[in-house]
Amino acid sequence: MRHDDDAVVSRVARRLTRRRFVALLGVTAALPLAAACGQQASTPAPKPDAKPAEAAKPAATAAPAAPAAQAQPTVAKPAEAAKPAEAAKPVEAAKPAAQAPAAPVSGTMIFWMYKTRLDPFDKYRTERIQAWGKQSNVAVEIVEIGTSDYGKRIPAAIESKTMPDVLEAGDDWTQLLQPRGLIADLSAVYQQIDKDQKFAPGAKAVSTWPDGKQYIIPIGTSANLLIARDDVLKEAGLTPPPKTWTELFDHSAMAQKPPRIYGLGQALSNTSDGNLWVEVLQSYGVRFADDQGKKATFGNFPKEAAEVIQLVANGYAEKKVFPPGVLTWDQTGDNDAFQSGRTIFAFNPLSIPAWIRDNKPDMLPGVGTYLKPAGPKMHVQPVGAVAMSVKADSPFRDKANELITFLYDREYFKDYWPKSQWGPTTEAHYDNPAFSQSWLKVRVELAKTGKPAAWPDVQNQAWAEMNTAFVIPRMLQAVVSDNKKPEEVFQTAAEEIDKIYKKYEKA
Amino acid sequence: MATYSHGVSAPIGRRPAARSRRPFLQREGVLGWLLLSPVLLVMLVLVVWPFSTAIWMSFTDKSIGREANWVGLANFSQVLSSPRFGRAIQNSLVFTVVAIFLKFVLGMAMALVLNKAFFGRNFLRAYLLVPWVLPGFVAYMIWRWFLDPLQGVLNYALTDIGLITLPLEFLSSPASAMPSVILAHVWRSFPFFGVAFLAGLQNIPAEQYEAAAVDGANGWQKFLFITIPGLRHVILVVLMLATIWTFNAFEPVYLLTGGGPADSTLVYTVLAYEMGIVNMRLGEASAVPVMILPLLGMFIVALSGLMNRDE
Repeated sequence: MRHDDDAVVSRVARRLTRRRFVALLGVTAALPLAAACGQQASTPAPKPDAKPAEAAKPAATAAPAAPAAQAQPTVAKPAEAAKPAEAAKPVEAAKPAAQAPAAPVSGTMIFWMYKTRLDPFDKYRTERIQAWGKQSNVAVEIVEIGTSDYGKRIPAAIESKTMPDVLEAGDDWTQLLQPRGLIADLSAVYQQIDKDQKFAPGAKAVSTWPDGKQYIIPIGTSANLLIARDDVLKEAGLTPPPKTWTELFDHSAMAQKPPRIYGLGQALSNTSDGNLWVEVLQSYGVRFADDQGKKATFGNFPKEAAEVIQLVANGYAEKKVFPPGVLTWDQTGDNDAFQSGRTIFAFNPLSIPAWIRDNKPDMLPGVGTYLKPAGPKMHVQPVGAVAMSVKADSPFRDKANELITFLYDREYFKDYWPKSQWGPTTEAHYDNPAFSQSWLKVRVELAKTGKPAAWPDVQNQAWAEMNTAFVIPRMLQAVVSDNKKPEEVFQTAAEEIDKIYKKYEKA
Repeated sequence: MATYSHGVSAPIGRRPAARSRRPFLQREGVLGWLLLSPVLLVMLVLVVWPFSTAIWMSFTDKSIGREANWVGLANFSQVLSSPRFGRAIQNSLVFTVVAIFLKFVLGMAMALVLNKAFFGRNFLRAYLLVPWVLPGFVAYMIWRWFLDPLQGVLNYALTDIGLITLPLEFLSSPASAMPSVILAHVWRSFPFFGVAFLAGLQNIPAEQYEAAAVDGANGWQKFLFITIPGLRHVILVVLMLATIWTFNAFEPVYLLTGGGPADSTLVYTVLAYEMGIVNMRLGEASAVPVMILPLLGMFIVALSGLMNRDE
């Protein structure tokens, strides 16, 4: 028996030479790599015969194109579209694609849907998208993305080249996606909707890129607004809303009854909510950078910054208007505190009153919603939007444009706004009964008067990093929790901001 | 002499010819490599490649969605000049040392208790494993709600029994934030120490304790001269693994405090996350763990040396 086994091994071994062994290892190594490469294409590439614009793009034939590039015929060199001027390239290349007869596209269109806290609203939108898919014979996979997941999902999708065909996200993501040539020019779709319904000034401001083109189509305007317990304020003999930031702190102190109810439910933590203090500083006259957004200028405003630092420090230590925990609140801290009736003021999109409407309707009449208070120098009320964008090299580009147009239906929006937590995007929506309720009127006001994010500063990568690094919330934390001197923390923050802007100065 | 010499030299002289004639697969070394190749391949793809990519990235200006350009040591100087990096290293060390010490003490106590025979021992063994079994996210969210000053159970309880009038800010006061994070982390992780030590205890022969008892040794002496030496290998392995895990812990800090207030709980993993994922500067973010690497490397080499010395 042993002899037989040896003979078999010997036969196998004779067949397996060193060269064959190395080749076998090579094949084994190639298998997982091939599998990994296969997984990268989560959205199916079109079949060779499904390249709608390839023939209509003569320039592409002149350049030696890789197979992957051939599968993305409507985009000219996405990586080079870093400057706004270069961003014109995708549009020029897109024209023939739009004119070419629509070719059948197989596979599934991936749609990342912005998940709100309002389930009926999300369901309504999902059904509408699915209805379009059915009508247009396009398989659509809707993936709901929670607000706090975007920061992880989008960078990962960019690096793994698995961006969805249609992306619903905050307009601020355009800052990342457009300069990298990752999203398509939607100017034609925008113009078409604008002609029919006329975009609201706020929506237009957030959708229009410095090159005059639109790469996103807003589906709702939004911003952190002042949400107030009018009933509690009136009980204390105060008239809402507070007009200035100083008044806000005063009202908070006068109306609060700790530990049952605290005045100002505003985060001082490392969350995007904590960056409200950036706007407060601007309203006191602080400018973070020069007009081009290149050189940091924060260090030139010690007097103005000191006023704000003092205001917050006094509010924290003396007036004690902040509820305990604000230094480490996460994104939902202010929601939870206000909704549970533990704070008088909060700054939030209207998801708070929307939640109250659905869960504590008795509380709603006592809740007021207002634009933010003003500072001594100016009133800073940014407007943002949740918006749709289309992947630049999506095989579903034309279909995605159709979907956007389909979603911008007047009839659909009639039921959309009453369910929504967002404000109008076009003038045609102003009269929707949804905005006639007292707590929703502010949405129209916001859409009409809101300024683009960062205003009066410039929104760019340096601005974004200053915010995501939470320089200003950390500056305030150092004063209120570490008892550091205002001048000292101001100096540290100024150096940090300077360093951030210097990193991007050459870009 | 000649015969001896001939007898010895002949096989040596024949060896190369014999090796070349042997079938490829029958060579022990080749078969060994063949059997090892799947593991080596997995290590190459899942360990060596990401690891070397991270090191390479730390020398580039790689950011999300952009090509990487070589920038030499610029990222390292950028990170080193940031006061937050120093703070993060300091906090990581404090977090690791204190947490490991507490986990060791509690784990040892758990193992010693559960090594005794008593009613309900099996239930208690399973019960004490619950924190370890819970997903980290769930465990730390429970602690977050437990310690919350506005709606947390602990503050409610303390207020109800009249011990406090205003809520305590466990997670948002610089003085108590780090101890609170360590407490939550220790609660979740000490069962691993307990289970590992318990397994080690059960391998110590009972005769050693009996002999010590005959010699008049008390409990402390038995623990010091039998239990600890008997557990030496387990302790070294557990300490090595736990130190690496604790030093690299991200969840407890990120979920409980996000590194705040005022960076008082900022550890290096959260700093790297902020730089890499939040600010999308992957090159700069990679420089942070790359700088930590020698520190962890030295620690591993030292502990491995101790283990090898025993062998």
